[in-house]
Amino acid sequence: MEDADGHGRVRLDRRAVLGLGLGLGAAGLAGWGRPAAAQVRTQARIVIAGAGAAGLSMASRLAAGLEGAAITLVDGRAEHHYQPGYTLVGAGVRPPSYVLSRTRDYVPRGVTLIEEAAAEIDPEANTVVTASGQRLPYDYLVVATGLELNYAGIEGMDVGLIGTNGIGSVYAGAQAARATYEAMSAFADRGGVALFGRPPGEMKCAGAPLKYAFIVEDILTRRGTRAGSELIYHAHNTVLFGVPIVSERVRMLYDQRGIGVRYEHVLKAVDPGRRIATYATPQGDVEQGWDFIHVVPPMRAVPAVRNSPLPWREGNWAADGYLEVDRATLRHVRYPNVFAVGDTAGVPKGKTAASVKWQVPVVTDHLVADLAGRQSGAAYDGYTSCPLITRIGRAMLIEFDYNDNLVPSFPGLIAPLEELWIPWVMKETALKATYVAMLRGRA
Amino acid sequence: MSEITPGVLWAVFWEMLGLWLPVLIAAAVLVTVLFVLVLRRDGLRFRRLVGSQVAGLAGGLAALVFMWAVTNSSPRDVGGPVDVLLLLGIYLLGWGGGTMLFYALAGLAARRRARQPAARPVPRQAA
Ligand SMILES: Cc1cc2nc3c(=O)[nH]c(=O)nc-3n(C[C@H](O)[C@H](O)[C@H](O)COP(=O)(O)OP(=O)(O)OC[C@H]3O[C@@H](n4cnc5c(N)ncnc54)[C@H](O)[C@@H]3O)c2cc1C
Repeated sequence: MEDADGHGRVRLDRRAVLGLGLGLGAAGLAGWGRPAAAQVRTQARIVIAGAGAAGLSMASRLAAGLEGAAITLVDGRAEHHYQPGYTLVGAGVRPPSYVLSRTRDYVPRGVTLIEEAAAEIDPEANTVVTASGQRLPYDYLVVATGLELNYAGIEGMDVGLIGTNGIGSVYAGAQAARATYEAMSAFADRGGVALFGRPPGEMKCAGAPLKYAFIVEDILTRRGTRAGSELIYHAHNTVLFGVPIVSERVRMLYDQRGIGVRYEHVLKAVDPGRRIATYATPQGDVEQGWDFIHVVPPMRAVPAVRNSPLPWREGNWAADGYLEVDRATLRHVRYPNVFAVGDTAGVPKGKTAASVKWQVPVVTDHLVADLAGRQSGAAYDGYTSCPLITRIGRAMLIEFDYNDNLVPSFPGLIAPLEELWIPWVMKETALKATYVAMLRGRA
Repeated sequence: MSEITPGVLWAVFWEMLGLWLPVLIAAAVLVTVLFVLVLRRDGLRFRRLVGSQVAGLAGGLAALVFMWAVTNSSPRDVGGPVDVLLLLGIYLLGWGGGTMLFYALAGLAARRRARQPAARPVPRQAA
């Protein structure tokens, strides 16, 4: 399979597409294609826990690649959320309906959807137990439960506060993203002090907290209230982004735009009534008042995964419960018939929808190869991508891998560290379409 | 598996445009067919072509304005050479499409005028 070794080839293909003038969606397409033509016959029972970006894409791919398999999706959420759109809702350029659809609409024919959460995963007994107590035995399990937003990890914070007291958080869903825009917009009319930051630990789309600070700065400028305002970004460690070259670039841009940066500041408490945020720093706790604050909660694996034997038992990801999988194959290290795809995988980086589209073909190939009695050489290289919006109308197309290398889809054409119109146009017109095509296994 | 096949592009454009995709393709085909028909019937009329090209300039502008409107952006967002290329590409598409449309329409209008029992003869060269 090409993903194992085909990076260069893939990029060439994508460039060729752009050359034809057809490729607006191409950056969002990396690694997508139709599954191998010949179907493998099997009676295997495959359970996919979680029907978000990763779970639905897996179901589509497996349904196309296998004949006779009993594929079951388990997810208690009837709504599907196109989460990369949250930032656009939070910026006021798209309504909440832009990101909402129904999970059922993407479930491929022949796949069963059980509309319940997985309550328990028992890899010793090869069984998933649903919230109502239904037992689902499996031969293969794909865990795609995403991650949990732990707002309670910040003292005084609650999802219900989003939109009140100058508090925003685009992470918590479509309505929360809209409420964030309204709070931010009211703030932008007057100006004042705006606080941003990110939590320690792994998080999905680590670019989103940075983007939102850029967006707010832009809106303040457009409304003529920038001069009387102060924007401060709080980094949880000593850098702005995990990839050094990107971090430096953002530092330069923040400097140009007058966005202040405080390193090693972790948001630990909010007092909505007084509008005071408390940050833990190496020098002790620091208080800071706000007119607007964008809260990004700590994230971790969902309880059903955390409470199972599947998480890492030591190291960086043990405490937050991410699955102990091989970073190239995404196969569980201790339970070879279990895979993790998407945000719940205990691998460095890779917590974006763009990563999902590279991971899904790899896991599909390994699973299908197992069933067909062959070996798969497919490997995921950590590809992660994020159109880092720097203002409404411009973005940087940031793409990188496990080794902090930039892996631009269009080398020499779309400069990864330049603020350009074209990545913004892609984000606005093509990314949702490529995402949905990915869910359907068509791209 | 990682290639961008025509099928993949079709899937993405289908998700992007929905039913507008066949409508747009039909419109493009219609304009092209009309253009070719008028061209075959009348040959290349120089004045008509120049007139259509001039009118097509507005088509290019309309394409750009449309693009900026649907993407919540504006001319000030053009940031680098590749953006200028995209800008030119969109403009050329609008201009080329507009030229063909106006040329075809002018040809059809000339034909209709020619068919009508005219009070005075239509000059052969009229666009
Ligand atoms: C603000 C924001 C901006 C983003 N921007 C981008 C971007 O620009 N580009 C990009 O590529 N990515 C972006 N992302 C990241 C992207 O949305 C995620 O990485 C992607 O959705 C991960 O897919 P997933 O399937 O792992 O998780 P999800 O899509 O979150 O799906 C997880 C599913 O699991 C279900 N689930 C949870 N618990 C259980 C359980 N116990 N049993 C069964 N089911 C369960 C949930 O209901 C959900 O349906 C962004 C995310 C956010 C929040």
